Amino acid sequence: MKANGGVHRLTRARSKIQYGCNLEQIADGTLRSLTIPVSRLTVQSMLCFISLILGFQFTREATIFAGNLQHGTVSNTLSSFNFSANIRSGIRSNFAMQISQTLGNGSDVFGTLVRSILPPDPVVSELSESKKPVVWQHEILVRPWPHPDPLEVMQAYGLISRIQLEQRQIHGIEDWKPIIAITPTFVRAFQALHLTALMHTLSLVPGPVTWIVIEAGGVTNETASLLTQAHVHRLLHLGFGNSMTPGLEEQPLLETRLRIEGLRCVQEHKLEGIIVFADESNVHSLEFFNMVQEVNWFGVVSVGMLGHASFGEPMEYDIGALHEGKNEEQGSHQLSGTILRFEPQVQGPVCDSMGKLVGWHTFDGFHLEDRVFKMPDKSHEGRLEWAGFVLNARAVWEAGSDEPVWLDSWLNWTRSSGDKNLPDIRSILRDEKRVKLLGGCGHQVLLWWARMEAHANISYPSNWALDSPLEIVIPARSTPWTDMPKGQPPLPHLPTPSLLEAVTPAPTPSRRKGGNRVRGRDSKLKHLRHRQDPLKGKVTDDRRNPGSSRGS
Amino acid sequence: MTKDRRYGNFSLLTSFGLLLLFLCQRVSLAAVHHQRISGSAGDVLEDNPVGRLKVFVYELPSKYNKKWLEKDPRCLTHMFAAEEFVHDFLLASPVRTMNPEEADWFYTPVYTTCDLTPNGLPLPFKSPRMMRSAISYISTHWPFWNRTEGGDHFFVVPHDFGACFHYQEEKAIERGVLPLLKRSTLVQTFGQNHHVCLKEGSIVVPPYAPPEKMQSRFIPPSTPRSIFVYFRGLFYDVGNDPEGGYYARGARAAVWENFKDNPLFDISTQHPSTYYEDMQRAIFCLCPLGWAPWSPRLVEGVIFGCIPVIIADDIVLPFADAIPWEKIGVFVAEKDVPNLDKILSLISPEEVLEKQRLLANPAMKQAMLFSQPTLPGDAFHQILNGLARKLPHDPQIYLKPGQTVLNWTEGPAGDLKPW
Repeated sequence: MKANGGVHRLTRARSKIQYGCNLEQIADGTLRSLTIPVSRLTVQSMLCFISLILGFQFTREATIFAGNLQHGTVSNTLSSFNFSANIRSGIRSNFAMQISQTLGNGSDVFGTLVRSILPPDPVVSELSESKKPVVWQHEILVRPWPHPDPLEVMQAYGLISRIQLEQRQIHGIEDWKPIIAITPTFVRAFQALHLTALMHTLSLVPGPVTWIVIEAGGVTNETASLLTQAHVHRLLHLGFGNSMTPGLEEQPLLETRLRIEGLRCVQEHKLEGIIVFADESNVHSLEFFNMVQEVNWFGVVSVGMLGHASFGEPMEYDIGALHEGKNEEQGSHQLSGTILRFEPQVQGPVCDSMGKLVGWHTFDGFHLEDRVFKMPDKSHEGRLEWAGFVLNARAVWEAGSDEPVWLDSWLNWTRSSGDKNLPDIRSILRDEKRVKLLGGCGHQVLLWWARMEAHANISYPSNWALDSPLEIVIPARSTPWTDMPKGQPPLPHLPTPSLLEAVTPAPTPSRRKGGNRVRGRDSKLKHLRHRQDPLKGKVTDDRRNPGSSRGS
Repeated sequence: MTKDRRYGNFSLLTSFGLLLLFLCQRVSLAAVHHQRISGSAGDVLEDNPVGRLKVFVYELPSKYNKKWLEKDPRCLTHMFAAEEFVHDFLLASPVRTMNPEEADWFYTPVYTTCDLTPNGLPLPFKSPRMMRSAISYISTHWPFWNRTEGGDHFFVVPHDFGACFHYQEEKAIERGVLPLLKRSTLVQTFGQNHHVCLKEGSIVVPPYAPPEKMQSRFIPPSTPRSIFVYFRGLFYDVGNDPEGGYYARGARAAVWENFKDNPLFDISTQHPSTYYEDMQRAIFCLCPLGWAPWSPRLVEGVIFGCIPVIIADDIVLPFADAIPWEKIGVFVAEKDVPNLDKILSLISPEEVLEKQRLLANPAMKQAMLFSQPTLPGDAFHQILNGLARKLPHDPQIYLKPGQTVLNWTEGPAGDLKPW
């Protein structure tokens, strides 16, 4: 029995190794046992069938291959039998992919021959020398280093800027007139804030800008250091008057004086361009500088006056009067009461239907810190902000026209420091027909006036450079705290101030003899022993004698 | 006395001549921000074809043309609408002649691309039979076809692969150009060198793009061009070619894989509503091949001043003898797609500005459009110019009576069925 089993096993092993249609061996192996596993038979017959098909294909392709070698070159035939998976029969493509992966993409003849086993594209039935395009699956070329080369990116950006420059030259405004910006300033806390913003705006203007900065009290190093970063065509930094920091009430007077001084400078140097009164704290949109290019002699723009909104008096409207026609239809929804409407916060020209200048819309005074600063004179004319007026520089110095007369009168006013009546900017608009109403007579606001000033006495580090360290208000977590009272180690979770106050008195800066060494009664070990639990509010021994925290 | 008078006349003439010269100079120095275009055939973009040729339009029964339009008016708006518009143009054009004896060219209005699926794509399966039936009609009713067997006839076949009448390239190659059209001139959108479906002597035209739709979306030209490379479209055709490698010969997929994270490339499959406006803010617009090498992006790029970057090997662009495309667009080989950013950023600014000047030429923009109503220099006129340049006909096309060259039984059996 045992011998029989051994022979049985041996023959079975043999039949497993041999594939193919060797019925004799199979029959031999299974003569002993009648129980033939059906699965084994089916597997073997399937393998036999597949090898039959493969053999047939192989022989067919080999004959075609040999036949075409006579006609065309080897490379032509090889390329035509390139790996062409047929999408329509997905199974074949998968099979083909597996074969190609196992064989690799080597150009060995065996590989190409094996690849040629696969059913080729049905189009390629006849090959010829002519370059007939054949449809096959191409490789998707991906470069190994995906990131762009930084130099090429910079070149691309250079290309973009060059093209945009050309666009500006072709389609932009022709004959760009230089802008002359007159800015009064004086040293104060908010100067850095305002001047930096204005500096950046003027640097972005796409054209030459002459910036005249007139400083009250003479030229100072602080202002000069702020102005070093300006990218303008020409910068004139002038000083005027004595160094007195004005209060908020005197600010408009001082600014007017400085602006007139700026106009004198324009007259002196005979500058060309368009004068814009660019106050420090104003915000200009770049469209504004495009808009003022249209000015011939004088122009007026609308200025958005911000800061009046919460301080101005709102006007009350009765809602019932407004909705009188509608409530009958709606019925149930009855609105009553008053709504508040504020005036539009714009200073600007007002035109009639034909576009002629009829009047000005302005405000009662400017508001700062809940105080209303009304102009000393009762008339309204003095309250127009100069920022809304633009003039051609030639109007200031050109001989032959009668314009400079008003400038002389203004200069006389500057020199006399007693007169509180501000000169009226509208006096230069003698012939109101020559005034150009920019922005469609007040339809567009491209310039905003917003005053933000601090109290005159506020202290700030001069030049905004800190010489000494600031006082600590919030301590860092890991600081070995020297100024906290003894008996209080640095806690990982800082207690809320209220808890701290309840538990410990406010720490006072203590000056201990012998430095700030923690030793003895102040040693850390002692602290650890009696640690305060801020959450539960328990107290320790150390707390009971606050006075003993000072080593004496 | 006479001498003085002669001197006086002479000085008057010279001063007048100098004044004229001065004026001419001033006029020519006026801002010319575009440049004249002249291709290999010379400065022919603005030629007027009227008077240079005569075209006779055959009257075919409406089953060949009008019935299709009544069945589906979408034929007038898709990108193959050129065949309908050329017919309308020729009917009203001064080059049309009612006397066929004096005609140089004969036009057969058969709308082979008007059989649309519910999705709007044209089915080309009936087109060969339709064309055959139309040719047999004109050959039996008029003697002019048999005179030359189509040598002086032209047909408009704007479909994907022209007169091969199939949308799949392998099938189209297999069929080849319809045998009956072997001697005729074909006006088609497909153009690729060394390809079966581009017959020699064909006129390549741009695909139809609705002119009003594009011309109503112009933005101010002072808007700075801030996008470096722009493209919107498919990179993978997931429905027909999920693995990639067939669609666009893998070129579009290569563009995506290489540049999807590149900040200079604004490429995506999302088609935004500001597509035309975005093209006007871009410097380069990619025009890669799809299933066929041509694309309407070329027309859109030219109209909106965006330099076309053509990624299609061996492509023949519209009106190639009248328009010097190498000077206007950038040609990138499909194998160079991974280096596209390097290629584009290395172009010198002067060259880019030169190309933009050429694109700004209104004659260039006009030549790409099938304007309604027709304008001088538009695509219709360029077709006629192309036909006029082929005149006079080679005397060899005229056959002796009784001589036949074409084989009417050639082609797949399915084509021979009457329509």
